[in-house]
Amino acid sequence: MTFQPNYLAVVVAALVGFFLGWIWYTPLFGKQWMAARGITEQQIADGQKNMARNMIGVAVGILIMAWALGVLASYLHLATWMQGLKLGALAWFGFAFAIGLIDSVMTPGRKVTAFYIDAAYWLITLVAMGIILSVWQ
Amino acid sequence: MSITVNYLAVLVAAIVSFVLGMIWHGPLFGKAWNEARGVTPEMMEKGKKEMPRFLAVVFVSLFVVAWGLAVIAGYTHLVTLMQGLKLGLMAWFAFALTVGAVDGMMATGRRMPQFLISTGSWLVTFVVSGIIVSCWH
Repeated sequence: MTFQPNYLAVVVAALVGFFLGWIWYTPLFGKQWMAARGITEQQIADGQKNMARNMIGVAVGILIMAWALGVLASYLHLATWMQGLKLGALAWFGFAFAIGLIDSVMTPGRKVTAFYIDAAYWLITLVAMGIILSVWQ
Repeated sequence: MSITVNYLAVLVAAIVSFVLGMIWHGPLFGKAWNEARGVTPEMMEKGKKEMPRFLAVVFVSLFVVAWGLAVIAGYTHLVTLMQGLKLGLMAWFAFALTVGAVDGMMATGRRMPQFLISTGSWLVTFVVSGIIVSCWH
């Protein structure tokens, strides 16, 4: 049982995921997402000094996911973009979607819109990373 | 390339996870959990009628997680307790921990206790479900 993910592909996939997140949560759905989570402009301003640390945390999280998808893609000998899409979709449905759903119903004061925005973000990110890591072995 | 999932094993894994989750968020860490989320006894009282719907969502999510693990166990031909444990650990680390951490990084309020209790519960769920769906085909 040996597997060797392509670490360059893992890093590139994570960068793509991080970049998608920036687009998703800033120009695209930033306003709706903040409203749905009850985050105010004031809180954003107050949190500015934690921003760098938070962004590093997010980047590390996405990097770990990309690594796991890379391990699975390599272990299962995935090679086509369709297989990668399926891998990303499976990881999304089985884990990111299910976990986000519980987080959402368990956190008071959080609107379902926030869950939709988060779940959709994980879907495109996991599918994009799954495709990159399958096609680029 | 097709696999068969033992849905009885998935169902049992979801039921076991559900029971462990009830213990985790009830007698074990219930008080700390509610404090971390800012949930008061009055809110709990008010939310009573929502409870069945809420627990149904939790159960469905746990079933989905067990199913995702079973699909991976099927593709990678896992059969032993140790392999199931490793699968659960890896999937938890790569997806549950990361999704929870990213979620926590972007949230406001007392995030750390909530994150720790939540991700600890996911660790139990993933390991237990991973073992059940690997050993029982």
